[in-house]
Amino acid sequence: MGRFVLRRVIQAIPTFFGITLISFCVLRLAPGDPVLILFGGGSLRADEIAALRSAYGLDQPIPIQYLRWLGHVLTGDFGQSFLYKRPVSEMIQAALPNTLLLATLALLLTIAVGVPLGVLAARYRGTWIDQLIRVLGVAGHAVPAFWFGLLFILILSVQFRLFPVGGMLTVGKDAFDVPDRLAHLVGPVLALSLAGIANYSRYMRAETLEVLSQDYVRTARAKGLRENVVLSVHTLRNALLPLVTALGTQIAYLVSGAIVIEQVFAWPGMGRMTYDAARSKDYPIVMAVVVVGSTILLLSYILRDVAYGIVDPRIRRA
Amino acid sequence: MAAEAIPLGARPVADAAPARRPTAGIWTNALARLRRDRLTLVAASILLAMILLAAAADVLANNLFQYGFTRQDLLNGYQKPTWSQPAFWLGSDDLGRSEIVRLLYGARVSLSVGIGAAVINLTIGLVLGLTAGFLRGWFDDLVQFVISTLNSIPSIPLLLIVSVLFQPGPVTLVLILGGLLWPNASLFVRGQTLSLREREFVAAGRVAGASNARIIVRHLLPNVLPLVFVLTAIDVGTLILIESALSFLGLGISPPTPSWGNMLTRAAQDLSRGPWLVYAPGAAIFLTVLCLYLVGDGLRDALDPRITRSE
Repeated sequence: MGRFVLRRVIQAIPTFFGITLISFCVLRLAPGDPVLILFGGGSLRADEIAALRSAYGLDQPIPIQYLRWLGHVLTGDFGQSFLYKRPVSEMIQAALPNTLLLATLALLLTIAVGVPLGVLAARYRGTWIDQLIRVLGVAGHAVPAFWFGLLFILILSVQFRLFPVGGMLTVGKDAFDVPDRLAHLVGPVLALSLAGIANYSRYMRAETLEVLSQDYVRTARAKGLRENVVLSVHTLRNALLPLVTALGTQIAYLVSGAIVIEQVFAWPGMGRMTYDAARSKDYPIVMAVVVVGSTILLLSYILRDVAYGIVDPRIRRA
Repeated sequence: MAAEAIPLGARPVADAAPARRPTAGIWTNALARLRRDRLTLVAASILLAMILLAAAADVLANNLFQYGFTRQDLLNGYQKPTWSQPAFWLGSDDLGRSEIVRLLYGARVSLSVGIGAAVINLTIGLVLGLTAGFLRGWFDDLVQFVISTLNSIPSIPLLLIVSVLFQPGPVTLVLILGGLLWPNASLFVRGQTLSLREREFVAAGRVAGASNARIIVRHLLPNVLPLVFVLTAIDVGTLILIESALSFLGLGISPPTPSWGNMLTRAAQDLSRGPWLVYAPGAAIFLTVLCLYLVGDGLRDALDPRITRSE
């Protein structure tokens, strides 16, 4: 098992360098001299610009610049925000926990709702329950998450005033006001988990049906077990295995989806930070977000494979 | 007698074999199944209607609504939907522009971006998936490395950066989305190719001396095409969703060109004054994507002979 984990980690290393290389190339392709963006340009003399360029290492050859930047990134130094003149790592430390909270809750809700829905659909296959869940499954995929968020705000927050319109906390409330915090979470978490719930219910329905057609399920039924026992003891465990694989895609979706949803609900997380940074061309922040986001994804892929290796020993030897 | 003798290599089989019988092939069967699938047919007709409406946007705007998509009328800002004036069937936005006309032009943008990018996606995905899956070896490793790298970068941040850098019009956006989002299609095609290449007809082709290129084009391609059709329908839907999200963030299609996504940006700025401005573009995205997914599902069922529609 240890060797399997190690191999999986080593496999991820070239991918990580690929990601940093892409990020860096995109950064270098950016129109506009970073020095001019940083210092406003206009009033600088040519020799001042040259001095600044050498001070920031921008006069070095591109490969050297890449290695230097990579060295900084590996030690957690993402440089300074152009706009806020603060270390980017500091800003990420402030924003990341908020996004993780949102994403974790959305993931939990996705599994808690999506899995039972899928099993239910398989259990009552062909009935109206199945039909309803399948329709919801397709619809949940097709709804633009940000539009769902807008509708939530428009109907539940603006018209019926049931939920706050955005943010994490009502201004003036105590930072530990749990009900207030929860009320702020409902909208973004729902909007973020919608597609995942649809995805999991479809996936789970197919897996359950697959397992239900196995011989051992027939045996279980033949020895007179009740359908619910067959379902919970014999079927569910095996049907859940492939869902571990879907977890990777789901986390990738959450990382991307959070950016849009945080914008809709004015949630002060990585997404909003990225959005603001992208609009104001604050490249160091954007690059840092890509590197951090990709690292989270890479780690979650490794965790997924390890989890898969634990539940299915054949994978380890492949 | 000698004249009757067929020289070796003159394709005797072609003459000896009976003329191609009109057996029910996979496409004929699929069509027959599709014809019974009412839900898919409804979805396909809605899509067709949307494409026609989008294509007729100019004609409709000039004749029926008599209102250009950039025409402003500040005195009629936030006009509620009304039957009395065709241009305001769906109300007007903050600048007094006709919502329904902009919706029609938005359909043009959203549909063509989705379709255009999907064509690029599937071309790249098909070529790489087929060649990597068939050739295996270092080429496959290389392609898989590129795919796993691209898949490890969260797509929205990546698109965010790229669209900030290039400030896309519709054409650049098509190229960006098409050039970055092909891994999924490629993985599906590769998977299919991996199992196809072990089949007897591929071995037979090889024994008969067919080159790799010929096996890929004549034997593998026709077998993955059904899959590609399914993927296209679903991919167009996903791309429309992504385009609308990017445009909503102000990083896709930028005003004054209307797209369903950027129409929602304006609507979101003042939710309570014009709720109808939120409903219409979002519903348009939802309906289009829903129909595309339904058509994709329907195609998959129709093209997969193993599935019985008794479920």
